[in-house]
Amino acid sequence: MKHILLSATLVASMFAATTANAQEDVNPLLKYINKDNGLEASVGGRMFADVAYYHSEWTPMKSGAALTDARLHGAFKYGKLYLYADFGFGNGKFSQKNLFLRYNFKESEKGIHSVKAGYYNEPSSMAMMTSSYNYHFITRPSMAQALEPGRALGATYKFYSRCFFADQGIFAQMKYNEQKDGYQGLSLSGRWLWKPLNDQHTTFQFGTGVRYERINGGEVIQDGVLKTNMHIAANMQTYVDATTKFLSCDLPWAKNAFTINPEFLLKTDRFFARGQYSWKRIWKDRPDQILFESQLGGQMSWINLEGWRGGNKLRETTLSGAYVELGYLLCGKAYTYDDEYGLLKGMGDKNSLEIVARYSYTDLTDITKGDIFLVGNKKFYPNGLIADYPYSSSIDGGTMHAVTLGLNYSFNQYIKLMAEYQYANLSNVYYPVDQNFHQLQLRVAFAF
Amino acid sequence: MINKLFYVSMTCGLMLSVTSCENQKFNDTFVDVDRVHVDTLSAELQKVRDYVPDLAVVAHRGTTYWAPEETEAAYRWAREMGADYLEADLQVSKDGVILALHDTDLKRTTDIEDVFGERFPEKQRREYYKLLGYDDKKIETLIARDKECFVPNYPSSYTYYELLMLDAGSWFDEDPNSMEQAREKFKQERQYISTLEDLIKYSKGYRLVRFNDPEYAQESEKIEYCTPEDAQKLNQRLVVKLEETQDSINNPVNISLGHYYTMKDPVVRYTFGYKKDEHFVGHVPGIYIEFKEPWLNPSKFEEMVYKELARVENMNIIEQKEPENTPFYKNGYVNVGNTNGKVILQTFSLQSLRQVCDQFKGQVPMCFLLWLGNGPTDLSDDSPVGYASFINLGVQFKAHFIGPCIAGAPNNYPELNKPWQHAMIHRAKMKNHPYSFDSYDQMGKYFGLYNWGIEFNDQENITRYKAPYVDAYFTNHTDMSLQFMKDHVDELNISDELKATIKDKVAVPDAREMLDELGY
Repeated sequence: MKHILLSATLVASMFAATTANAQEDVNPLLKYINKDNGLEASVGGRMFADVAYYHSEWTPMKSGAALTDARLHGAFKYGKLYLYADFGFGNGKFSQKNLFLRYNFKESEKGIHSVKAGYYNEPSSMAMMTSSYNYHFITRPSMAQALEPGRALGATYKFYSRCFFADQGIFAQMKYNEQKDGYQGLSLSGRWLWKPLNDQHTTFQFGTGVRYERINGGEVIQDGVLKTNMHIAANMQTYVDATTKFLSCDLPWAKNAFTINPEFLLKTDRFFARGQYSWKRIWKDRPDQILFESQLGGQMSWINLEGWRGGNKLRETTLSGAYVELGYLLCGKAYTYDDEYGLLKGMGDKNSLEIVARYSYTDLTDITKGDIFLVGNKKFYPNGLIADYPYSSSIDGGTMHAVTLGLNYSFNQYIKLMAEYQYANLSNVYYPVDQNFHQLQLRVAFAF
Repeated sequence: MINKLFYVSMTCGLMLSVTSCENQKFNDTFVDVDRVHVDTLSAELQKVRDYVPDLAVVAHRGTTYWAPEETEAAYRWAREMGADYLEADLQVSKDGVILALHDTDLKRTTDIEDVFGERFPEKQRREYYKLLGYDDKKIETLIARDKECFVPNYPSSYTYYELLMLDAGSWFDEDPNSMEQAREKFKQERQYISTLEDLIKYSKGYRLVRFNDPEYAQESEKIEYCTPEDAQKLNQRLVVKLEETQDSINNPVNISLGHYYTMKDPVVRYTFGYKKDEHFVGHVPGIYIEFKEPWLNPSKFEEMVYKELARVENMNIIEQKEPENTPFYKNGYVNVGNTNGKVILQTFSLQSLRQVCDQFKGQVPMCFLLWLGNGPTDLSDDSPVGYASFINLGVQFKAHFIGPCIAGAPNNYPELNKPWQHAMIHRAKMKNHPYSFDSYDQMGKYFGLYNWGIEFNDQENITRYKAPYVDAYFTNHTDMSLQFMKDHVDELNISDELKATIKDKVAVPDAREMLDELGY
């Protein structure tokens, strides 16, 4: 009987979460409810203002203040249908954020089944799925920004219960079909979790996100040659100067990519620990025969395909990253957990104070053993020998290890203050004298 | 209590962030240039660096302005004008003759389109093989092979015997860029693609023996590579003989056969006629020779050059050194060609830089040339960090000089010789040989007439960098460059000794009158 009651309570709480919060950061202040017709509508918004001071060894970062996020959103619920839309206008620019429709087609004690379509986060990453307002740090870890997907246009099917979570779907490569040439590519994303422990006080879950991506859209650089590219980038875990130059790389001719993101989360009333590892492999496809033939006819032309390939090396690239985040609630009500998304919720109680710590590493480096790099011409050379040809196919988008310590305070669920100190150690051949970065950040965030 | 602490920490953080605005930071080249690490030349390499005189004038391809580049006319003119060095690019003919030739396509500076077109020079190749004494069967085999790997207009596709048939002077009179300096004599007296041996001989005061010279008739042995009528009409050069040597080369054109590493072309030795130039007044310049990218030339090309320098006029100081106290100037005349600085090597190529180092081991002055771009040999990052990395590469491979391009009309090259870049080269204990000076404005800019690069320190009232931002320089206008230095010598920030040297140099002749005097 006790178990039945517990299950029923949990399902009820899941329903409540679906009804009240969904993707919203807080319980909206502006709400319209028509119980007679089973209709609910709400509007809300949020704003982040950050102040940051940076200290770097060589390449300066721009200290100062910035309005790093500003949004308005609206939600509409009718029976089992839920419509959500939000739009950003941070940095003075309008941007498309979430815009989706969800339908819960089966709700029972065993769990909830829903389908969702529109523009929203691909469901393969714990960090990227968590709302920025609910995040316990000023930014998500760089590895997630670099290697894990953000929003995309697509459709998913989701099932979640007290013990399991499964969310998977298909997404388009670009939301406005804005690729210069070629058809769009697609991605298949999913996140599957098992929660061996999940009650009102404690949650322990682990699982993995998986993503396959096929890139079809690109740019025609000559007759018969469509060039694709994958740009991977992350900031230094800050938005006041959100430069991605220290952590970024381009992967020309990228065609297929596979990412796996195993994760875990442990939450108690006063403590949480969560972490994620991400491994990404990118395969490339280049029409060598056409490119080889198009360079024929010059005095210095390669005269066979094998030679041309030797001088224009191309290989797969492997990138990775990981983070672990810890938090301890010094005062305020207990941490809460979101069953619908399989995520820790934000700190939202009146006069809550928490201390948090994070270690993250982002490895956008894939250098062939023995290669050396010449910074003056930004080229890798194989076998330790600098020569005119050939170049190596090595990639160095930078490797960063960062430790972040933070203190967060919430006046109530609508207003928060966050403070962080971060030390980051960078290794990037393009910035050989930039190694140690220190940054102090403050954020005022409010949502309604 | 905790909440109060939080408020205090937030306030402190906010204040720190605000005060940080008072300490603005941005990438300041003048700051970075002093912070960036550069390696330095060893004492031994600095000694070799000092084989070369300061403010040496390097006659770029002889001249590209007054005469057809890299020909006898250009080099004779530069020598008699008083240039310290005659500059040339090195390539190789199919039969292993080292050429002083810039372009890898013969169309711009020769009449190859009229002489051979795009076809394989079969008739001339047969004549050539006969001169070497090959039998018909061998000739047929070789002709078939040569045809297979023929690349039109590429110097390594042609024997020097065939290159002798090309006119390297007439184009100059017809090219819109140079026709104002046209002279009939550049057409009437055949100008040839020079060899490295020619270049050395010109530097030593020689000129070619030609058909109309008495020496031509006196020479009993000679190769008839054209009809006697043509020889007379074009006053063609004397080729005494050609003979096959035991040496061979991996010719880059043979790569098209797919067995580059197994098939070699024999090296043929040409004996040319030279005579002392009757207009030689006493200037003996050195030579400044450039290695191109190794894949344009045979493997072991550096070794070939090493041997050729040793063979001709004792130009290889590793094999035979000059007395260390030999002066750079004698009675106002250039004497660099008789000192240990008689040869300077140069390259843009990163690979050649290493290979030249392997061959010459830093014992012959060497310049690492810089160009800003995205090509295989280019510097693409001209920030202090990127620039320093190329300097360090030069130091690592025992180059003594950095040769950066300079901005300004008419070439409008990118600027790689800013004052801080010059200073950074000096920090590495290297010296700076920028290229190419084509105008008085450029001279004024880099020699300090226009206050370029002067930054006053308010407190100490001193300048940060001091012109001239050159230690030696390439020019197409030896006349203008030498005259500029003479005219402004007292304004230049150089040693009294160097000022005296410049003042003591003989008067700079008029460029046109010199060409008249030389018979052009």
